Amino acid sequence: MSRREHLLEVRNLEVVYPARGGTVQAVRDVSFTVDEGESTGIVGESGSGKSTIARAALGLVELPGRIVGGEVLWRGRSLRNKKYARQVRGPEISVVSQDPMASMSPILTIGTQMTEVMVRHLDLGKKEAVVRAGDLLEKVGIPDPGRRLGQYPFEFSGGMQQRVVIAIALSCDPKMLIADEPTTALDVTTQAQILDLISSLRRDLGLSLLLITHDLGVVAGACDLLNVLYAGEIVESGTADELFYRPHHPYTAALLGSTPRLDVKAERLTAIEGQPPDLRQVVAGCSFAPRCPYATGRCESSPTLGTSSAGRACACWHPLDSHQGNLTGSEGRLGHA
Amino acid sequence: MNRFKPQSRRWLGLVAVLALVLAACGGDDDATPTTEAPATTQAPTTTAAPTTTAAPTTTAAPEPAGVSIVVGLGTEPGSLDPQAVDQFAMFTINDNVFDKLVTRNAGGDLVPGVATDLGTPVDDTTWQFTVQEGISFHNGEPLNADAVVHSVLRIIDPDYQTPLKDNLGTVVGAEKVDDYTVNILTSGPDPLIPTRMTLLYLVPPEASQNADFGENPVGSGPYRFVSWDRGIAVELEADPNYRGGAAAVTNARFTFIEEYGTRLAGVLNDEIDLMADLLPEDNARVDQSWTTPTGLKQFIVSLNARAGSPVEDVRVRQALNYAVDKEAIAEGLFSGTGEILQGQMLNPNWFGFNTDLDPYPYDPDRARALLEEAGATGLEIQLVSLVGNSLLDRETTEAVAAYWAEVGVNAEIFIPEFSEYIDRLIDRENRPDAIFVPHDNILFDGDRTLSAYYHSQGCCGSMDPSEADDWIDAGRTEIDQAERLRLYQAVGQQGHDEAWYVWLISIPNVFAGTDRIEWSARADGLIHLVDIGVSS
Amino acid sequence: MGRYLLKRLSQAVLVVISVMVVVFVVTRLIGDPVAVMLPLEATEENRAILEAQLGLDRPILVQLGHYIVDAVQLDLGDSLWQRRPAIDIVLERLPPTIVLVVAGFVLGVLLGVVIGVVSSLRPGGWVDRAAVTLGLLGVSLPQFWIGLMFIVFFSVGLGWFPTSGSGGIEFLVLPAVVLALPIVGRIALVTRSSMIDEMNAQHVKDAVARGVSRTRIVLVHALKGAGIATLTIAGWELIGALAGGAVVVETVYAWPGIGFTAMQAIERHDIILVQAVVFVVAIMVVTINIIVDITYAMLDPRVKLDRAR
Repeated sequence: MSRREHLLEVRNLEVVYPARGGTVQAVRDVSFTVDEGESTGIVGESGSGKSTIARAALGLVELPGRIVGGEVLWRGRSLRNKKYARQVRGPEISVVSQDPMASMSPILTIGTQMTEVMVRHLDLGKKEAVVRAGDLLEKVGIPDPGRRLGQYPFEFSGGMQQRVVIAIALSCDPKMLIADEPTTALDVTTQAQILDLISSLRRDLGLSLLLITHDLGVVAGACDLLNVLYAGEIVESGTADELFYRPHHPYTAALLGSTPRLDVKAERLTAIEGQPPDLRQVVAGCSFAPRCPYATGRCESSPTLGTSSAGRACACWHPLDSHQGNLTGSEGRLGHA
Repeated sequence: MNRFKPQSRRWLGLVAVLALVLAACGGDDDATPTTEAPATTQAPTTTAAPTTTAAPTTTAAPEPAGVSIVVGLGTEPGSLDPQAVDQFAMFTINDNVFDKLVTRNAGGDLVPGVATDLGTPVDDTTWQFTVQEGISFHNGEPLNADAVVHSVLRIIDPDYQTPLKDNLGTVVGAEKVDDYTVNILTSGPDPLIPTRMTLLYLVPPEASQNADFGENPVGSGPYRFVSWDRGIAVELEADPNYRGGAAAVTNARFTFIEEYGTRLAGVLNDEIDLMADLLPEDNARVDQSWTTPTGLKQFIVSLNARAGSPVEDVRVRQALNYAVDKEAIAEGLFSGTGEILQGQMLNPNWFGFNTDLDPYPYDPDRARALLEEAGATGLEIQLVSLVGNSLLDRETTEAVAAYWAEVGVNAEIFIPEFSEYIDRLIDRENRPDAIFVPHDNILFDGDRTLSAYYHSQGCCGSMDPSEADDWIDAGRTEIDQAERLRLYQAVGQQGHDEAWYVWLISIPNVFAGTDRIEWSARADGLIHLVDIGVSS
Repeated sequence: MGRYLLKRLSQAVLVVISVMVVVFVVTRLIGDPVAVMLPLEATEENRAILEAQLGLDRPILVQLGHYIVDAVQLDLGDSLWQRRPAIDIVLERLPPTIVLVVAGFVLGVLLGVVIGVVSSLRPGGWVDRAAVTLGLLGVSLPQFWIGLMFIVFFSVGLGWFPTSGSGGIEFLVLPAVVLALPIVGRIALVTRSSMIDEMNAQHVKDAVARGVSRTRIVLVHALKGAGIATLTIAGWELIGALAGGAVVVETVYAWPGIGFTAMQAIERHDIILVQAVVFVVAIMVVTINIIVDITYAMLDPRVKLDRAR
């Protein structure tokens, strides 16, 4: 039985870091994979551990943080091996971050920032690297690349900057791109443009994508598979359609309910009551239980991420598809006939 | 002055400054510190590694290896024109390069220089000197009557502006009698003309008219000027044809190192063979040290004896003398190198010294008694002083004030900036209660000292008119030596009895040197290179 | 750029003129040069004569007026001590100072930057602690004392270097090191903290994530950013070395530069020469300032020198 090798495999990952008042368990038993050509999303609110997962996927969990359990494998080899991780970053995995202006060095030309990785990892001469950089700029939709290569980040607008960051990330033709809140700092129109760009690049280059965000709207069109992250654990995973129209986990539903929408007549937004748990003192049981309207005594023991159908998983003792419409379920909520 | 050439040179210089700064900011500069090429100074073989005999440092035709020494000076003269400045550093160097009609021997006595004798007074306004024949300057010009006349006229020329004029105040002219005989013309009878001639260096008539004579001096002495690297050193070499015969030291380099600690380190490191102004406490660290046979700086405290002064009572002033233990100061501050002044400002080898006078002994009880008698116990006065002008001047002042305090006189020490100190010293209206004075007199003659300090109209005396005024005035123009001596001794006696001063110590100059130097210090504190021997 | 330079240059001229006026006033307040040039017992009459000869008896505003007019034509007067044009003396003595200051400055900055960068890579490590301690020592110990101590220890004691003077490179070592010490201290401390800031910046972390090599991160991404702060300090250090440190070090080591000359002039109350030294130093200081500003713009593209671009 030969499995098709995953590109990225995260298996039972546990990450902690010390903080005032105790040790924070930022990531508790997270598992997911990204395959070739696939695009996976991780959705969660701030503090859910998603940035830590992004760092782990780059082999960059550094002191004071520590991986205390599980594995992060790239093509079967552990990214905890620093040497391997250094080899892999750039030519195989790259990253696009939230704030493009902060992400680039303000005092180096974007040409330099693109060619420096190329020269190092692709063994290209300076001239060839420059040519390739120009091509990349065109690909991400920046006109007049020859002139632009000699410019500095502050000479670009916000959206252009993010395109440049994407171009830098793609300099060495990586297999997977990690996008950590790539559109959060942009206005809505630009957001759409960037997401479109990422999608088209994916198609053209066969790029895999690990998209990390708090914004459900962003993942909707961009990802094949979504993972919902809460308090350091994945509570539900499935395709966008499945999660949006038939969420199983109460948290997923609650997230959806608290998301403003343009196509539905304005209803009152329902904020989720309560606060996410303090990850310094992790108690047994479902971490969402304190805020969940469906919680019972059973929820005092931790639910496992069971698989309800192919690719579909949910960690809940009372998944919504078992509620038979009695309680305040999700039916009708999304307003689709 | 021609404004064009120097000006464009300066603009060029300024642009060069900017260019240098720009270039320098771009990167390293090379290590050679001078960009001008000094024509005659060589690589620093004499200042770097210790050498016993060094390679020749001149660029003249190759000569056999000579003997080089390095002398460390603490100040650099402003000019080497021997008539232009009154600076001891200049004398130290130039006494080797130039001749005078009259000079001094090592013991300080007047002896003929290039003159045949010490001069003859012809009449009240004329002194006659004869110059030895056959002497020439280093550039070939003859040293004859014309040269002497030229030298005299040059230095007294009002347009020439030299501070040395003060010491030649009575000289008004010179005239040639014959090829080797000269008459020095004075404004009146002046017994000091031979002494004054020790300050009149003879310069070559033609060469001295060069604008750069101050940087390229030409004399007739045992050593020739070689080069002057401003800020760095002056190099002299022995004149092989000198009439006095060959000298042991063929090359001498006078380096200027103002910082005492650095200069001393140079001696300790054998980079400097001879230096002056050694501090008493460093005596044990150096290979050798020499002290001038007599003191050169007279430390005294001037007391205001005028009517209305807090110390106008002679008993008080005497008490202030009895209160101070001068031996202790000499021993404690100067390691015994100072000579106690004998109740007068003159040294034993100065003309006018009174052998009958003794210093006021240390007797604090007597001091207290006198103060009580005069009703001055608990007296408060101000003692003006200076710092850094002479060796341990401030410390000596503090010691004196401490001794006075022990007998009940409280002196507040006031050390102003130097020009204010001068103002107070010469202020004829308001005399300070007490003022510390470091006095020196390179003429070694009582006239200058007594005129300034014992004469009620002098620059720095603090007393009411007395007979001493007349004696001093008379002595100034008294040709008869015996009579002159009697007059000055009388002045000294009066000053002693009136306790116009607290006479402390005469400070000698102490030199330090390395093992290879054979030498002894002169009474006038100068360094004659011809007298230095060098052992291997 | 041309307009910018013109603007800065005219500012510089104003600065230099103001400095000269201040020096003029101060030197005349602190003491009378005539007092030092004559023996103690010189008569009032002789003092007056000398004062008149030197032009010091004229009303002070008249003197100031003449002075400025002459200075603009680069005639700064004749030194009272050496009786020749003061500006010539200063320009003669300038090259040794430049050699010394450049040597000390370059040494100080290079060493300081290296120590600062190495310390910043492991804050709290032993290199860091040693460097900070040495840096503080370099800044706190008086150069005068260190200079003399070096002579005692390295020249007289170990015999490695001559005690003073100038000549070949062996004369340059001790004074350059003494001049460099406080520079090393301050530059190391500033570089260290700017480097730590830079290394924690988002763009550095992201560059690492995108695969830029660590060496390049440190030397290009971080150092170039940290360089701005270091540059400011370095500019000040150069000025400090030139205007102050050189005086102390040159005096201790009898290094024949303008610092040494300034000391000699001050001791002799040669106000003309003091003025000339200050004039040249002031010009160099404003020049350095301009160069620092231009280098800023070269290092950081966000800095605009002209307002209209």
